[in-house]
Amino acid sequence: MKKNAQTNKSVYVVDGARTPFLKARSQPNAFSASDLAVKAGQALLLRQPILPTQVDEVILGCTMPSPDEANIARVVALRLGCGLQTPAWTVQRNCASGMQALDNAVNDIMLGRCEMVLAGGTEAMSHAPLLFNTEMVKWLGRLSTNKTTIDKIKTLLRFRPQMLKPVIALMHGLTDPIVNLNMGQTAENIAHAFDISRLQMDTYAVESHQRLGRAHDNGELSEIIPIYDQKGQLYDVDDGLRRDCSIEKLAQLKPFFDKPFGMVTAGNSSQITDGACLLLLASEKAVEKHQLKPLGKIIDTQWAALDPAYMGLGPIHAMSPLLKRRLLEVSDIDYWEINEAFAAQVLGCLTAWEDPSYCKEKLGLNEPLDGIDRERLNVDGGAVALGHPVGASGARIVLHMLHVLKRKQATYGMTSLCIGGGQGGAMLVENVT
Amino acid sequence: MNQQSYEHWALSVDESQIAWLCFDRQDKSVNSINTDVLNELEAIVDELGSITGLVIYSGKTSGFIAGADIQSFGEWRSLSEGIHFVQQGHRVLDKIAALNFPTVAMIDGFCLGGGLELSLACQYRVADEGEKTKLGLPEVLLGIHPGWGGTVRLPRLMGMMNAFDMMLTGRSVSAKTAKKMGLIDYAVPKRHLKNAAKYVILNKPPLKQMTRREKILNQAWLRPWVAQYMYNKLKTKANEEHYPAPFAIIDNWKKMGVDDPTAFNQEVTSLENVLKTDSAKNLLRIYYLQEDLKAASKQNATSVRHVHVIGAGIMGGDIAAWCALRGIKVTLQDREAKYLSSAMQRSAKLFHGKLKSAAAIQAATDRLSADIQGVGIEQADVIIEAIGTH
Repeated sequence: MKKNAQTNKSVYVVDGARTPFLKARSQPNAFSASDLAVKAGQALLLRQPILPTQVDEVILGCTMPSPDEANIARVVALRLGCGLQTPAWTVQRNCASGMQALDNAVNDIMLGRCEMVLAGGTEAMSHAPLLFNTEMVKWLGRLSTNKTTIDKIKTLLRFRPQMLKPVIALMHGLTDPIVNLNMGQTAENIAHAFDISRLQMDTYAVESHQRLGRAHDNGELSEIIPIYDQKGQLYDVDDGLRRDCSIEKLAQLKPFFDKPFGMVTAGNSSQITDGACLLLLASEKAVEKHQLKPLGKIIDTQWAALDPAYMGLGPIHAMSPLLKRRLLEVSDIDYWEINEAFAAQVLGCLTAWEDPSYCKEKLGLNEPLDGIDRERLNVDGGAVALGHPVGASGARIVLHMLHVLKRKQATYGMTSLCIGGGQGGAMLVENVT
Repeated sequence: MNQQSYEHWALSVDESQIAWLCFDRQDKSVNSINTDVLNELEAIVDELGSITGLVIYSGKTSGFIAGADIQSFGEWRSLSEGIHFVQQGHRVLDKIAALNFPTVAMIDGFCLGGGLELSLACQYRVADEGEKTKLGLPEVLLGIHPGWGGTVRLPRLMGMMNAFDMMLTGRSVSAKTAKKMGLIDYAVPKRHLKNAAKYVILNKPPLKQMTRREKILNQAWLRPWVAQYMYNKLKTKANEEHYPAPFAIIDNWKKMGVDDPTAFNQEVTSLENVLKTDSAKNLLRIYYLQEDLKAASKQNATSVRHVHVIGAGIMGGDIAAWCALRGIKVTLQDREAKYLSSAMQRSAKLFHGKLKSAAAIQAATDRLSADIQGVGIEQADVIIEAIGTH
């Protein structure tokens, strides 16, 4: 070996773009997951002084690509014109897939394997398929292998209408197979453990809508790019936003997951939504060479795991060791983003964070942490108002945090998500604008 | 494999005694047929001897055969020289049609006019299924009609309805459509083209027969009525005085049908009459002028990869959509996002209308991006301002 590979010390986020987040209604939305990622990527790359072919690698998070989007990152890379020779791969860590993609991009840049990586996430939850149930699949299989007409007729006679009952892939994807609880039920667990009331959850949800509405009105969501469907319809706002959301209205909603006594409703949960968010990450060398104007730096990332039945507390399990490793106090962090999977789960995180026994038993801390100022947390609303396209959210909160830090002329931002299956992820970023 | 070379043709015989005849016109980048080409082809066919079969293919990457060499028409000193050329073609193609072993035209890329007529003289046609393959008889667009047996062999092969559709409009069809119409025997991926040619020679699949309906329409007693119907339909599209050629095609068929061997003689006589008309002379002149223009544009062609259009009105939006359709990356700018809606809608309609495969539509859609900030200006090779003035 002549020379060691040149490693990179800093990883910059040059820029990022996302589509508006589009709520899943009764039918699939106009865009597939790759369509959304291509549109965000196009807008992002167009405004850089580099060509798409100069990107060294594309990494995307996506939990439910459609059957014709296998390794969706490669599909997107080719559609973006990154060229036949640019490798691309897809990552899956449920709700944190977009953040996982960023982390992998950071690693590849730090190791000197890449100088510029396009990374982020995409999800078209409205396109989640309905599947045949096992009985139906067996029946179809038998029918296709029957050789004689008699056998075929016999099989046909065994058909039962209940075999047509579809399996809703989305519901299964949002159910933990180990503890057999759906995500909403894990939020109910947290509400019960920390004594969080329905009113607290609904109040939090209303505020999320208000904050997002204010951010839209003040033009503080410049990361959104307009997109158009085949009919020429323009989409340029997060359409899950309900400006008329009020505590009274939310109070009328019935519990969605634990009927009839639960507290988690569709109104105080994140919405099922489609969206994509892509970021361009670069080494210091690439920033200088191409005269890029970065938004910020990714300082460090932490992954953590806990009981799947309390997956919503994942953020504090990831954030606390990250602060410790970086020798930072809560007061050193200027702004916080905790992805709003459920209002109950964010409120649970805030409570547990200051709870001496939880900090001691679960986080191994002698002292509880200082409380997080609600005015510095999710300042422009979150997934309760704009939705949670699972693969994209991790990338969105990092990009949005960098915009918040720039706007507030602040330094450090902490972003984190809870992850279905009982994990948490946290990414610490620094403003360099 | 022993090889014999001519100026425009190369013949080689493989271990299965299949003769592979490569057409590679010496002085041109595109294969077209002139007197020299026919002379050589005739000599080759005369000397073939006993072989398993004959495959005719092109040595050009551009395509199979574009047709008769229309440039050489200009060198005729008299009409009789032209007629001599037409008769020579008939003679050579008849010889190919009379060969007593399987003959295949292996078509990769365009196969037009005289080139398609040559392939029709073969028993089988196999073609690359790719987008580049186009089969057609565009003679009427030059004010003439097919003259090497095409007006007889094409309806004989696929029935008069489909044949007239192609000959009277001059439109060309894709390999897949040609397969459906019965014009070719196999449309296959390029990688299997040689295998397909070999297969038909070694296995001699049954030749395509006219369907019963096609046979009935060809009956002498019914032909005048069918011809009248076609004639009336054609009259709504073209004026006989200015475009006599398509009317002559119908007339020849009415007189002779496709089974009578003298139908070929009728084609020559009819073509002679058509060639005399002013319309043929004028349309040929336009053709030469177009060729000059194409040659001139090739000389100073620059490759435009990215066009930025400012103004998403009807004009700007449609320019943008056309550029994206033609493979160019386009950024479309207007004052606000909402002003791009109708341009995006029209572009989607254009792509769906012009492009067949979902992948091609997606690629065209991906080439066109909205660009409210005008960031595309920096990278564009061409910037078009199409702001409407009210």
